[in-house]
Amino acid sequence: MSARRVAELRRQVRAGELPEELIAELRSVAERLVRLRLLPPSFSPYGQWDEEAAQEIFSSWYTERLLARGHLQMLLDRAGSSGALRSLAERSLRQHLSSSRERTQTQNIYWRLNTILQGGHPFVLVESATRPQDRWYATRAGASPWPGNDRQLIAHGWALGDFTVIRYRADATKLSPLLDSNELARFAEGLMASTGAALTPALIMRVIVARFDLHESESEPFEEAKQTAEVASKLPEQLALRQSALAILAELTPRQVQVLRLTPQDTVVEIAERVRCSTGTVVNEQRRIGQLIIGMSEDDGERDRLLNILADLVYSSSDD
Amino acid sequence: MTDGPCPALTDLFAEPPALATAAHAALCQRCQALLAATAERLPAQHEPASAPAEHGALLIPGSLALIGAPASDELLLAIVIASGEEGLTVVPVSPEVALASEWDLHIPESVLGYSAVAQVWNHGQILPEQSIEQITTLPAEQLAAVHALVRAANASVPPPEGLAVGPPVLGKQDPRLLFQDAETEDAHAFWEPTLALAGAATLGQLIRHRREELQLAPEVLESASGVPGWVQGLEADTLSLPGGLSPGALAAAMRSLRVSASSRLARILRWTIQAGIPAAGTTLARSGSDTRQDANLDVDAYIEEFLHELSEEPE
Repeated sequence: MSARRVAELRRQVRAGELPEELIAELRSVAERLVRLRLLPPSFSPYGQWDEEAAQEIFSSWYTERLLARGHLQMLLDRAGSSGALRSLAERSLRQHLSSSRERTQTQNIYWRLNTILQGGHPFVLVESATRPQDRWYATRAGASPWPGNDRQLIAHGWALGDFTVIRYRADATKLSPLLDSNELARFAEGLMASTGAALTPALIMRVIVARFDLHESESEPFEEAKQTAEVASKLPEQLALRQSALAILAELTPRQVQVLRLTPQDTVVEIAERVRCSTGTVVNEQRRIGQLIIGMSEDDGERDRLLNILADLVYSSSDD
Repeated sequence: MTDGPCPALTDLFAEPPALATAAHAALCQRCQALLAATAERLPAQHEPASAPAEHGALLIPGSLALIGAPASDELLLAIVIASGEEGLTVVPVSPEVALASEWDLHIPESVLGYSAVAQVWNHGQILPEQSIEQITTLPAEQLAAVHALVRAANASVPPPEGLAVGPPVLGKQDPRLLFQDAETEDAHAFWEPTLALAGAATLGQLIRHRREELQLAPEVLESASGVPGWVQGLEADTLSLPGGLSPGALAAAMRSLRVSASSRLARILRWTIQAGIPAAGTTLARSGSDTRQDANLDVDAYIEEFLHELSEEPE
């Protein structure tokens, strides 16, 4: 497919057409990523990758993201060549699989948030209400209800900094919440401290939905719901970890791989010199790598094992 | 280490890989690690060579257009907010709506077919030749909002009330700043053609600036052009054009300097030629008839041929 053909497809899709050739190209992207085992096993609807799973993820990606959200047009708008189209499509598919999993967590988070707020210290009930989502909680007695608007409150949510978002785990045999209970409590406490006001679970959820991009579940009522079990991985743990490490590697940029390789033995200043960038950029890259690895780990042990496999993959492939 | 973006995974694992992909993988630790770790390979895929895009769509303020860059095969979607002799000022448009700050203006889905934000904090300048295609025109009220936000940003005052922007950034801990840092870096490839020509009044100045920036020795350019010993003379304004160097050789050198064809480059070349300064004995040694022929070359024809050569895909 030439660059000129990509430009033609862009115009055709903008005119409301869906050329077969384009759909076939996108389908092949999903099939090849599955065949290459470059998606984490916990992304699979059945716990392992096979033809059926590939078909299923293609269908959900194509209908829910590419068509319903207009991202097919967006991919074509950004692609200057067929190679760029495939590269953008791979990124889009990974984002889709990751965010699909995150959206299913909204009820789970709401349920756990209520439990945490009702559990007492450091949270106190400052104003009761019939419905749980309308009760006001604060970290100090006598705090007034939040007087501002949602936009201001969401800004406070962003200002709390990084939170460990668990995107997917290597071995999904147990429940893996989007935010674990400690992080969820830290978020709620931080939000109350930052605003100096009392907040309701409904308000906190609005911030979480915006902050962690869970918008597609926004219209659903927040009701107490039972957690649903995830599909258990059918792969041996070590193999699942290795496939997850490969998936992380596929998401890293060349510079991030260099930073990853140099981090154990070099200082930030030395890395910056070798990679030819600023020290601030090195720190930012380390932060991004860390977020990616932590997001795929259930606990510290799994994180360390993933990091070791990733380091092996990077070192064994290079003679530098 | 490679500075270029990695190819799609499906292209990386194609058998045999395209030349450009193989060349990239030879220098990229990330791609080497991926190739080394996975034994499975895909069937061969032969792809016809990419045709050059149709560059140079006529853009005016309010145009929503796709922008190209020599170092990237991804395009930038951007809103043109001003046009001048030096180029077009544009605001990038991103689909990352969830990461919008108070300096990102929401673009309704009805405009592009998907929700997006105009990244006012990330605006920059492009050459008109970088425009690939105009997608649509931003509605007047949206364009006015973009202008209002740009004016506020330039004046370092808070964003105007009532605009559809994201929640404000309240502190340095905000992860959206990390995202903005990455977006700024990505957009830089699109500003580079303008930055490369900035401040150069002659070709000699342009070549010297770019060589210093890219840390290229004169021999690299001379080797790329196939003509030895001309860089120092041109940089010192003692080598006369068009007689001193053929359009093809000059175009090859410009490619090495990552300078693309543009009307602004043509102007710089014309100024250089008109400044003249022909110094006897500094033109490169050629046969007498060749030298006479070169001296008679029409300046317009020389510039036209140079731009044509530079626009062609290298073999």
